[in-house]
Amino acid sequence: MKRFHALSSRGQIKIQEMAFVLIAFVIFFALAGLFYLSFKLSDTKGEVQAQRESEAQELVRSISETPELRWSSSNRQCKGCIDLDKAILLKDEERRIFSDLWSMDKLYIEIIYPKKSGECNRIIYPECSTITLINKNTNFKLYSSFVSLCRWDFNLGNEVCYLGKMYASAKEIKEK
Amino acid sequence: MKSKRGFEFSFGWLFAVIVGAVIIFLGIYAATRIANTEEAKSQSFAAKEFSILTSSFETSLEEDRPDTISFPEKSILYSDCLATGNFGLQKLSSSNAKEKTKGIYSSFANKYFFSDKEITGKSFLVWSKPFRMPFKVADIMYIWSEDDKYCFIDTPQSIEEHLSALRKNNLILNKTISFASSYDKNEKCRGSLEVCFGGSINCDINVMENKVRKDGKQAYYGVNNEDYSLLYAAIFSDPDIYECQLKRLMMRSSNLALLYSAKSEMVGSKGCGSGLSSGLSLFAQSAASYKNSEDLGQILTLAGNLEVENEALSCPLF
Repeated sequence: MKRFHALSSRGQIKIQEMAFVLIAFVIFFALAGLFYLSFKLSDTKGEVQAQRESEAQELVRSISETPELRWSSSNRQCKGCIDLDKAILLKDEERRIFSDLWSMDKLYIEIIYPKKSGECNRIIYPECSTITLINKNTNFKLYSSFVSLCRWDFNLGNEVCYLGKMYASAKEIKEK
Repeated sequence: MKSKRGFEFSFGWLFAVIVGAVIIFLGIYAATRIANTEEAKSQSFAAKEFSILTSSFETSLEEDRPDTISFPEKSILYSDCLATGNFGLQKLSSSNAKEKTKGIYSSFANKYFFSDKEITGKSFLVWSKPFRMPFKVADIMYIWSEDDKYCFIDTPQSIEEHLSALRKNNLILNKTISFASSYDKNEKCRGSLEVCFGGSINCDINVMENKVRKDGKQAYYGVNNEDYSLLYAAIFSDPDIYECQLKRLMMRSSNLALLYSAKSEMVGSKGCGSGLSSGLSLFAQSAASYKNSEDLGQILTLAGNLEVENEALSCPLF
């Protein structure tokens, strides 16, 4: 009887040992898994962001050809020219839907020459320097490219073009 | 003499074997899952990269010249289209042709890929053409695999000249087949999809006066579409994709017409009246209520009228 009790308690100790080992294994693998997942997640996030930045770069390069902005008001072919009249209209509230077309956090046009200042609106246009089409908070790099900014001058009865720059920054990944 | 004791299989052993098996199973399962996730991730990046690369074909400098985008291995491109929201979405995913682990779909509101739902190959041809209605609406893209051959039969001269100028080996132009009674596959067209003009119904793709018949479905391209952008779209794409992309193009045309209408009012207030505003609003309404390619004829007529009126302006809108 005594021997049976001794064997039984030794068996219980063994079971407890096994259980502890098992728990230790589970904790070890869970921690290793979490570490691996967080590492992979930040790695993937970085890669997605890099790809979005390359998309922003590509967009800045080609945006002057997008129909919502391209200059088309004369028979003269003008590659890389942006229609300032269309750009100012895109700022209106009812045309904000156009920003859905470009997956960007920031998109704006700046008139570099002749030197002007201030954000454009329908009242002061064209005596202003920037037209902001998308303006969300972003920590990402702004990419830019030189463009010609054209509009119809009613006094001259002809188009006038300015030297300008287009800026865009990639859409940031939002944490949920 | 045989031993009656045999092998003692203690609880410790049994426990170790079961737990060991579970751990090994979980290890193998996790490794497989991680490998699949990595594959899906790389395929997702590949599809997104492909779409970004197509942006360089959109600019007018590359107009009317198909170019090739190659993958490191034979792959499958999955194209899908959603006509919801303000502009709809072009969706694209890819997978390796052997493993077939599909990546996550990338979505783009400003891209229009006219292709089959699944395209298999290592290299893909991308041909971009501007779509005008009558103002430029978008650069649409026809995508097909370099392995897919199209044989154009009884092609009208204008289209033949256009296609031969592309100098692509997998676009075969064949004038020698006669469709009098029976249809025999010409040697030149063997292994390729036959695109027949002139009313024949025995080919894979049949081009009629204002519609294309493919996979038993009809896609209307409109007779007024002079640059053949919609005809090529109907030839190179799946009929469902064609209808969906056309719907998306109409959504964008409608919004653009409203933008031009606003521009017309703006320049009109400064002494350069165009009187196009009401025509543009009517066009915007028609384009917004577009349902399928059967409605195309009426919209193309309105677009034609707008083009004529715009050309007569001293300060044209588009």
